[in-house]
Amino acid sequence: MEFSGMPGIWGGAKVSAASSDGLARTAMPSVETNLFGPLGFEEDQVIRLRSGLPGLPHSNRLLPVSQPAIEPFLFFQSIDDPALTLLAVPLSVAKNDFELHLSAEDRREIDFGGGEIHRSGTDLGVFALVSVGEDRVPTANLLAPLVICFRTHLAVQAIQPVDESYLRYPIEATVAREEPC
Amino acid sequence: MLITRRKEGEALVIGDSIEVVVLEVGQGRVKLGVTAPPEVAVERKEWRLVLNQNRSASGSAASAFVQGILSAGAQFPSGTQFCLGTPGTKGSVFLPKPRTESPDMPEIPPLPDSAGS
Repeated sequence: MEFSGMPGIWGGAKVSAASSDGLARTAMPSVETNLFGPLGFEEDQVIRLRSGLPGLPHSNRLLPVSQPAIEPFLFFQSIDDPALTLLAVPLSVAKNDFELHLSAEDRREIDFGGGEIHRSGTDLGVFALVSVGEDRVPTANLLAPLVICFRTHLAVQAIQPVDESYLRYPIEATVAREEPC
Repeated sequence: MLITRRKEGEALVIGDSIEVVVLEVGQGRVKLGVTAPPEVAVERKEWRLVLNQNRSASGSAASAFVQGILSAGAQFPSGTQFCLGTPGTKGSVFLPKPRTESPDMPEIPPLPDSAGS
């Protein structure tokens, strides 16, 4: 089996800065959000977490939201809590050599069968949730990435067999022509 | 820190009401059973770490930092690449630069020159 971190192959709600108020509205249904205002989406864009995210009530239904200004980062907006919006980055962007581990329990959570997991492809999307400290330095949570099965639209926060330092993994930005990563 | 050796079937007690039993010793892992009062939360440590980090992350998207990006219509400089640094070191601020053509744009601090740790 394969995974990819690119959200574009699956598509979530898109927020376009081109509209008059900076937001694009799509067809019903829609969800009220604190960050984006009313946000239209299609049912097949919703990802579901049977167990939710630890510590975050109302995180059982998330809507991926892309915004050109912050690509390749994206948001995951809770459909059930207007105030719950998570910032994330595809792991394929941030760390190509990340070895994803999915336990049997994790696989059941997303109805993902057996088989090996490869680093490229379209079966799974893997995203690290991003935290931004008061110093505005962002870190990615690689200890527990959000793993989405594109076939079932189910997701799980899969805890990895890595040490605690992966909980707040520093993200660095460089401009390619000056100093590539 | 208390350091002790236990065999399968042996236990530790913590206070008057918590007991930790070694149920099984396998290759590279140990199966434990914990008996504790309902008011005592018993969780895997990594689960608790993730819980706290999720709460921290939930505040990040709605932070003034991100809202500033959205309201300003900012963008990353062309050619910006992202990578992960070394655990324990400090990453860099990746704040996009504001588009110059917008006259009403709120002030946003500039992107640092390089990734520097």
